Amino acid sequence: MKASLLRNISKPFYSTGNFGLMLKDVAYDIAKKGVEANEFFRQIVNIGNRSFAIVFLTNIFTGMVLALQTAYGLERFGAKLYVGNIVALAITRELGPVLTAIMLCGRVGSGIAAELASMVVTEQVDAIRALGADPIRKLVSPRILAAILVLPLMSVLADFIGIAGGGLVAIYQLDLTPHTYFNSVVNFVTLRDCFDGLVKASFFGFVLVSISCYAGLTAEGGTEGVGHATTKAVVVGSITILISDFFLTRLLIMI
Amino acid sequence: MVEEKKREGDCNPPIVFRNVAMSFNGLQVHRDISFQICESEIVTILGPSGTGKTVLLKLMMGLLFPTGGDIEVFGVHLSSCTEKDLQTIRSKIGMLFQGAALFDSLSVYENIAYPLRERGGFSEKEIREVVKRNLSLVDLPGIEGKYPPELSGGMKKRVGLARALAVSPKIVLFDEPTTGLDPTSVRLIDDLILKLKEELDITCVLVTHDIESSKRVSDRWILVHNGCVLADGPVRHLLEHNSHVKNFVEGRWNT
Ligand SMILES: Nc1ncnc2c1ncn2[C@@H]1O[C@H](COP(=O)(O)OP(=O)(O)OP(=O)(O)O)[C@@H](O)[C@H]1O
Ligand SMILES: [Mg+2]
Repeated sequence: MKASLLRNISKPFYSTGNFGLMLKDVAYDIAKKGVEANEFFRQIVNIGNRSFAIVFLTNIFTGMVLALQTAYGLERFGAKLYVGNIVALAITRELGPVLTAIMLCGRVGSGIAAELASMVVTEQVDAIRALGADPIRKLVSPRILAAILVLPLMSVLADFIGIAGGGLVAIYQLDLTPHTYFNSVVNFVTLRDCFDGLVKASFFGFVLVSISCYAGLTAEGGTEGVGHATTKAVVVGSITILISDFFLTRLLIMI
Repeated sequence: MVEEKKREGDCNPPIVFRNVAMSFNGLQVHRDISFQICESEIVTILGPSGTGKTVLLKLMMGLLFPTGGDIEVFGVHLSSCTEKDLQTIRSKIGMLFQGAALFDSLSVYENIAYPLRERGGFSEKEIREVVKRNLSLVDLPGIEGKYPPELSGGMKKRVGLARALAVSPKIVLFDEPTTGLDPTSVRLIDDLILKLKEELDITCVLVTHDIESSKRVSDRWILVHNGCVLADGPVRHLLEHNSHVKNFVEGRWNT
């Protein structure tokens, strides 16, 4: 009883420690041997394929609703013209990367966790080791690197689509001219804003995929374990993204 | 008898277990397991379901680490090994997993080629030859292009065996090689195991519930129960003189 209580309390700390060890192994592996090109490209295609549609839908509607809401508020002091500035800033600095990452937690993260977890419970991960290979190198490193690369790309896409979505509403609903809207976007958003967004996206890609890999590799207990791993990847992944978003933003604003 | 003499200890044993204990999060699976396995011997580990036979095989490969005692493989203490040393040891051992553990995302060809590619130094032509030879060894010629989900359970088992034999191991560990196979295939696997020993001097460790097949191929049985070795000796001797073994074989096992 007492032992199991102790174990439950110490579990999160223990997991965090092991998660750190996994990341250390990944870092060593990449530093020493690079990454397996084939698997890396396969994962890029994989992650990109899975995310494209979802990034498109999420961001176009977010852009649209953002334009509606800001216009609704700005109208009160006659500042409807600034819709473009606010939409663009919010999308590039914040919503583009964060929403993309959160959605991909559900789409890509859960997929990775389920895939690795079922490899664990069907002994495929043991088999990788038994056949003289390293599961970190084979499974984890390529996925993490691919995510670090693909998430910013998706985030660029998200920026364009979100701003376009906002434009649709601004032009057809709020009766701004296309010129006003896009001028306000282009003149207001700086390269730095876009860059900060990309840094965030990269970091979130790293966070969500490494958490998913960890959840998958530490799965235990048959098919039920696969379900647990998937849930854990999505829940822990999205919470970590939201929390780290605050601190990362703080840091990026400071430097 | 030859087996008797071997057991005295001058058989240059490639695998030695000394007082091995193993537990998972407080669940004690093995208490005190000691045995050795001699060169080019065929040993079957018997025991009721859930006594940790699979765990024993994984301990031999260094896929799991004991919580107590000492394991020596090819004269090396596994506890003092780095991951790299372990890879060297594992490359001399082939393992057939209980559920075959084929990689679902790779074709049969790539599955069998996997350990060869990992080890490196094989030309594509050599790899193709090994794959072809090993598939006909397990009587499944011509299925190189198929994927594991398209295979039946018994076919997967045999492909798993073909993969385990790909790098010409010195020891082969079989986890239930004949469960789920039809009588002809059982016979085929039995003959194959005998051939491995006769022609290639390979040491075989089997885990099986198939008593008849095990009688046919094994030199020695080790009966494990409750985390201890209950009986260890030449098959015929145990069948005549050991009450535990007699009960187990005749299905009158109660603890
Ligand atoms: N990775 C693991 N984590 C936790 N417990 C485990 C693990 N592997 C095995 N066990 C436990 O060890 C015990 C023995 O398992 P094992 O698979 O070795 O049995 P077995 O003798 O091979 O049984 P069977 O004949 O049914 O295959 C089981 O109670 C199992 O729950
Ligand atoms: Mg088993």
